[in-house]
Amino acid sequence: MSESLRTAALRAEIERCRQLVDPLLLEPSRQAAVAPEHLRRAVVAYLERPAKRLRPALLMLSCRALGGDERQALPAAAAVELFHTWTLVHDDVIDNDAVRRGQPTVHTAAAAWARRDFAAAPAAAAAYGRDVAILAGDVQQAWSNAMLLSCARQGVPAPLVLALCERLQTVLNYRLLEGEMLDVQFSLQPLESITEEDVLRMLHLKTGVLLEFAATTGGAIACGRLPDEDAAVAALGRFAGLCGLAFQLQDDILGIVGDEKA
Amino acid sequence: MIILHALRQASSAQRAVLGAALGRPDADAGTVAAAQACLVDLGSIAYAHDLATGYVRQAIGILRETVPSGPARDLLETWAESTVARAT
Repeated sequence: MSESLRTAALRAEIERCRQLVDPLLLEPSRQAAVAPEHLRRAVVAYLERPAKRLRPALLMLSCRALGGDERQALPAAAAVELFHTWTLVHDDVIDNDAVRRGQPTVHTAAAAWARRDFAAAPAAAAAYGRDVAILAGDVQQAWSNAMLLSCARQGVPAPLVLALCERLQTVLNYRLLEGEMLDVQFSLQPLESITEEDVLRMLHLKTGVLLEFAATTGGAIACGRLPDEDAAVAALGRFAGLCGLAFQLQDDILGIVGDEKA
Repeated sequence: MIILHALRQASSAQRAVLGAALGRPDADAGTVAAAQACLVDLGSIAYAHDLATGYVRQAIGILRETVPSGPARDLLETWAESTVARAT
């Protein structure tokens, strides 16, 4: 198959996965449980914007690659996207970014709501925006956990689901936050004191570990074993982690010589 | 990564060009363009690209060794290649 046909097939597959996952991400009953309205709107803000859903697609493809039923993996695919989303919301607060996916970041939008609905002064509105964004990320993290747990209702054995939840809350969470923390610390250090290995480790923790989690979770659901119990599941994790590094390096290149960041 | 590589290779004149743009959101377009050209001249963009391409090759090798061949594995390989082929 030619490169263009393979690329077209991949695009079609990612779009197919997006269409399967989006209804779970935007389920009205889950949204209705979040109040008050500003918090609900903050929680769904990024989910409602156009996005490729690469992480869910990676999870579902990994599941199929090891002979699994992707319908069983669907809630896990939604869970990794929700997990990714809360990290974006909090990352935007930390970096004080104003725009995400072509629209205001959550904290920027919520600051505008504070000015409009409470006639808040600029400083108070900015503080409100940050507060809302932090809380929205917290809700999304809880959603992510709940979504992953719901795999048990799709026929995934409960002990495996619990083990995956534990990995999400320990291995993934700790390592991803370690990466975020290193990024924060690097911003205070002279560039000469930072090595290439330091940067690669930070990039892997910030980007690669979530991709690793997505791929190994898909593989684990397919074969009923965790990465430390199955060589193929572990290999999917190493594959995804390396791709995460490549993805991040390409992002950095495009940030300098490209038209626009993805 | 790109900046670290550049600073390791740069002459003092090139360091000055990079320093005028680094971490300065108020830098004008000309200053930014000069720094971008400097990063290309120093081979730092190519270095990062080669590193990324190497990771993709390694990733695909791992996949082929362990995961059974089939349509899903083919799509995963294409996904890996797309991480460095994308323009946005």
